[in-house]
Amino acid sequence: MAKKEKKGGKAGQRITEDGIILVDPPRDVANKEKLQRMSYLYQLSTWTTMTNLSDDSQSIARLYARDIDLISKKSKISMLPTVKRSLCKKCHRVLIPSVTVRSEIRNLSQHNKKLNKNNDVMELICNCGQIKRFPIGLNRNYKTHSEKDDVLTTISTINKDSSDSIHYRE
Amino acid sequence: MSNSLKALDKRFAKRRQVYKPILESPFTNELNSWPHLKDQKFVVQLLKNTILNKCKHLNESSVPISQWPWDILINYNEIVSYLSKTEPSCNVILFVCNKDQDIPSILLQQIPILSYISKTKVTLVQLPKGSLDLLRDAIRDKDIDNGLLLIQCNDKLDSTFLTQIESQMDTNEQASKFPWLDNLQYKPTNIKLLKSTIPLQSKIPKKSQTPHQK
Repeated sequence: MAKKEKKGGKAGQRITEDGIILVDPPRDVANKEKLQRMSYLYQLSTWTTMTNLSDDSQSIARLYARDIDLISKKSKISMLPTVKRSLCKKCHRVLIPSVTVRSEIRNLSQHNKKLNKNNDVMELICNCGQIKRFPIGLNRNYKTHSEKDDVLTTISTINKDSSDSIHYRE
Repeated sequence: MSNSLKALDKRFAKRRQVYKPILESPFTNELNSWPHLKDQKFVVQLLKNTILNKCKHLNESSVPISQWPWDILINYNEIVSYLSKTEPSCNVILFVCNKDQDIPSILLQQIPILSYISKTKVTLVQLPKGSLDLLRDAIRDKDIDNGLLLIQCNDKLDSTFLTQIESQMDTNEQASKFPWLDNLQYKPTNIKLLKSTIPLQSKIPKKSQTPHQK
């Protein structure tokens, strides 16, 4: 829906036709350190999973990933669905295809030996046995809110922070 | 601007735009994960002339896929199990219609990482928008709706087809596809702002009624 901006109400306030007051994006965000810590833990957990492939329990990687979950819950920080879907809710493994997770499409609707494509379900089966199910057959063009156009914006000031741009190499 | 009651009502602000900080992973950037091609039109034409046209004829003469002159996989589960094999097997080319509609994004998110990790050498080729209809037209099977076509590069396949496809791959970008899987390289935190709205008037809390109140 096309939104026309117009000035009304308080001086300099922009209001759309839908009655939404538009504001400029903030220059900084709250809990920046916690977001950085979560990002660091996520990367560390992934790297630990990939380097300790012989370790079936992946206890250290799971410990790091569990911390991500705890921090996000304690400080009410959201993660994008792509990040959230890459963590197991039960064992806190980072889900890497063919390493810690296997995916398959299932369709259990077999009436008169005819499969209804609407009942296609994609399953991500973690090594611990936990299954994430996505009913992809219902709406094949489904997009999460964050995947829609013009919803996400970037903050340029945070990425230029010197403390966050240090590169650690093995 | 009209002075109708509806327009007057809309002039009043009801909601306020807010920006919520949200964490994005540096690893889930799809733009970097899909390998780029030098000339997509050439690749589509090559695929059409070499494989799809023959597939169409075979379909019309009702030959089952298992008896086709190449080893082809179109079922998602079969492709995933082939790429997840613990022992290296025959090299493959995987064509993916990731630009088309009607293909769930969650389905294709796994494919680039899976083909990178796989013991088998996988040449991942992303097809341009509209290629799904070409595949559907040639291979009339319900499994092709997922937009995946895996061709095994064995003796049955013409070797020039593989060399022509590989020559179209942008090799510079392939090298830095998934550095996080091989060595620890800390990337800056990728924080995004999620646009959303909140109501201006907060909900009036209901008065708590004691059981004795009337």
